[in-house]
Amino acid sequence: MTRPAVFIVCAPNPRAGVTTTARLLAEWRLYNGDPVSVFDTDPDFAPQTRFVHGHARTADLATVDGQMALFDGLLADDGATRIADIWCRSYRRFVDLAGEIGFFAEAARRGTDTHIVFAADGSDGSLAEAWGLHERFPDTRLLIAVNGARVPPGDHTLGRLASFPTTQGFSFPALDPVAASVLDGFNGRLARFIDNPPEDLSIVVRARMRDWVTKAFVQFRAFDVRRAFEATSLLG
Amino acid sequence: MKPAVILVGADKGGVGKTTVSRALLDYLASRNVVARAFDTEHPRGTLKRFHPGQTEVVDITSTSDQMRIFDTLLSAGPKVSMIDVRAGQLGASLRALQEVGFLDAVKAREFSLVVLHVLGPSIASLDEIEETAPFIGDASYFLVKNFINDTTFFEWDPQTFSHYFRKAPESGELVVPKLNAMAYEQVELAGTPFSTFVADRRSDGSAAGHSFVLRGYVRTWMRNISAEFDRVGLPKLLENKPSPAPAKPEKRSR
Repeated sequence: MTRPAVFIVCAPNPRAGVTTTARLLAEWRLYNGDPVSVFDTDPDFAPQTRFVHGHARTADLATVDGQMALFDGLLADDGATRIADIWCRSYRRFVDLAGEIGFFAEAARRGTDTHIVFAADGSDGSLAEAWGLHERFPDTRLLIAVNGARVPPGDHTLGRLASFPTTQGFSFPALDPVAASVLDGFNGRLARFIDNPPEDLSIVVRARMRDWVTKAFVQFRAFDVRRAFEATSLLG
Repeated sequence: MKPAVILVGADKGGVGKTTVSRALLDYLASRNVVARAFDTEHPRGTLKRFHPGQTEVVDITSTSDQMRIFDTLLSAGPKVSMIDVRAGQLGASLRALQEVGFLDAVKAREFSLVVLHVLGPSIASLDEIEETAPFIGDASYFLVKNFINDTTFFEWDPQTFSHYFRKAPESGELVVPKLNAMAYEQVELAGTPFSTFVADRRSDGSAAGHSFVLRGYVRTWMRNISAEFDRVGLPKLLENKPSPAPAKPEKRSR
């Protein structure tokens, strides 16, 4: 079983890959048979409630009830990995609220292993915002998630990504457009879908999706191993 | 430290007077100032519900209760006595203090007196200020603009301001920011001091399980109020030491 953690997946800009990253993180935990709780801050569509049905709930940060659902839920010591999908329209409110109520300090005080997963898009605004997060919450680990479908490869982009406050994180390659549309339209567990795909699903699409998910899961596995080693005592 | 009295009053009910009193008791406790409180909402005592251990319900117009308060100022353990004055009774209370000679003792610097006048939104507040002005010459006098219940205030007219406050050299302004309504309601239901709510405790000291979000709102609100009390130099005023001129309050979002 993987050690429970809290992942705040966020980005100030739309289409940076927040939902995909949060979905993959949740899928990885479920694939390993670990309990997971996902909080989706998009009150209108709440895609995570369709993707990881039964493990996700909506938390509208425009309401105090939603704020309680999110922050109190993230701090709940229930043994589950908790993942917050902070969509772009809730981003500013989340950052301000977390600062105002001292969320990250409280999480640290409770010994919660908390990570901010910032979905980078390579723009100047994204870079500035990542640095802003890092300076505002310096004691919380910041990770960068790069979605190949949103960040075109190139020297300029690579240089920009190297300027972020951390180089730790995840990089998801661009998924073939046909496979991507299948992925977006599928409401359900991804790993199960790949193991038992619909009979009419192209074997090519299936192979590409499996490859894409595998590349993500390998990175999560490496990340978990790293966390496990970090939690060990060198002298004990 | 000389004994000090803090009067918290308002000319009308519902402007947050008891909330200010509760915040003040928490502030004093956080600064290690031992205080006792008198609740003049006789016989009900709203303040006593939140701070039962340090609050007595009194009728400030009765001689026996005046004796309970003022005859014990020197002998009581706590050197700060806070009086939560019933709405509309601030002028009458100050008059009573004058009659028993307390204001003369303040003038002689035997005691310190701080008056917090919680304002309502109407022009009637200015009339109340005029009524209290003759009694507060040697007191530290503060107008409290309490935004906790979304009060909207009239704009100050500079001439009116100077007319009313010419006689109060220590007069100043305190701003109590708005507290999230749901957080405020939860503290009301809990019936504990704000600090106890933030610490996630019940009045008996057991764990309460309050929402972290609501506690966070209250904690931030308390921090802002404490900054206001610090800004006007309240601890020094209670010691009757000269305090630097209070800076203008920062413009706060409501």
